Amino acid sequence: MSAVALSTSQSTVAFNEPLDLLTLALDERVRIRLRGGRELRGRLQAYDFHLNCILSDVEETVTEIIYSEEDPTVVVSQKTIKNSYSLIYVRGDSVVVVFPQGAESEPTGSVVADAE
Amino acid sequence: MSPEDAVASVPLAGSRKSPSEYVASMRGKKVIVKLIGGSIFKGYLASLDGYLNIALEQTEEWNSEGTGVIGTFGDALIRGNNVYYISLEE
Repeated sequence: MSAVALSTSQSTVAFNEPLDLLTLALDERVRIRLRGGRELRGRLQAYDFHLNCILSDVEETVTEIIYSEEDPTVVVSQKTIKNSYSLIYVRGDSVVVVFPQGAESEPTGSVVADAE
Repeated sequence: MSPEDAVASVPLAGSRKSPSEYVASMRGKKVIVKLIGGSIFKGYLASLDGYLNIALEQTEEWNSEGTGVIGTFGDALIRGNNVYYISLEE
């Protein structure tokens, strides 16, 4: 595994390791999906190899899905709560996926119907 | 078939490779990554490290049944502790 020194000069970053993706995303807007149905959108100020992150201008979306007691695959209700923060520190162990927002298209919103 | 023969018969494994060597040879290929939470991502494997942190390009998120695309993203960085498996897309 070739180590790549983290560089602040973006043009010199070699894209050899997954976390280099975040080096390129510094000072850009990112979308971070967290455990427990939480999602953050904000500007990435700093990160480390744990994926601890500092974000500014953050919008948090918490999606709570309640499933039926009889059939756990049936969604009874779903509610979304939004919070805003000017600056937050996210502990890396709760991070699931990070999407740099560069070439992103918005999700279609609803799950595409199962093709039978 | 002895276990050694079984390993030798695995496609793509011309010689015996360690798991990390095998998965490193998947770079640049289209892969399916399933997470412990059930979500499925498909995309081109840009890079990965020893923690199984994974960078994907041209990423698609599929529903947990694998029957439909939920969203598309440019790049995605998946934290390795959430990875259930990585598979080559046929």
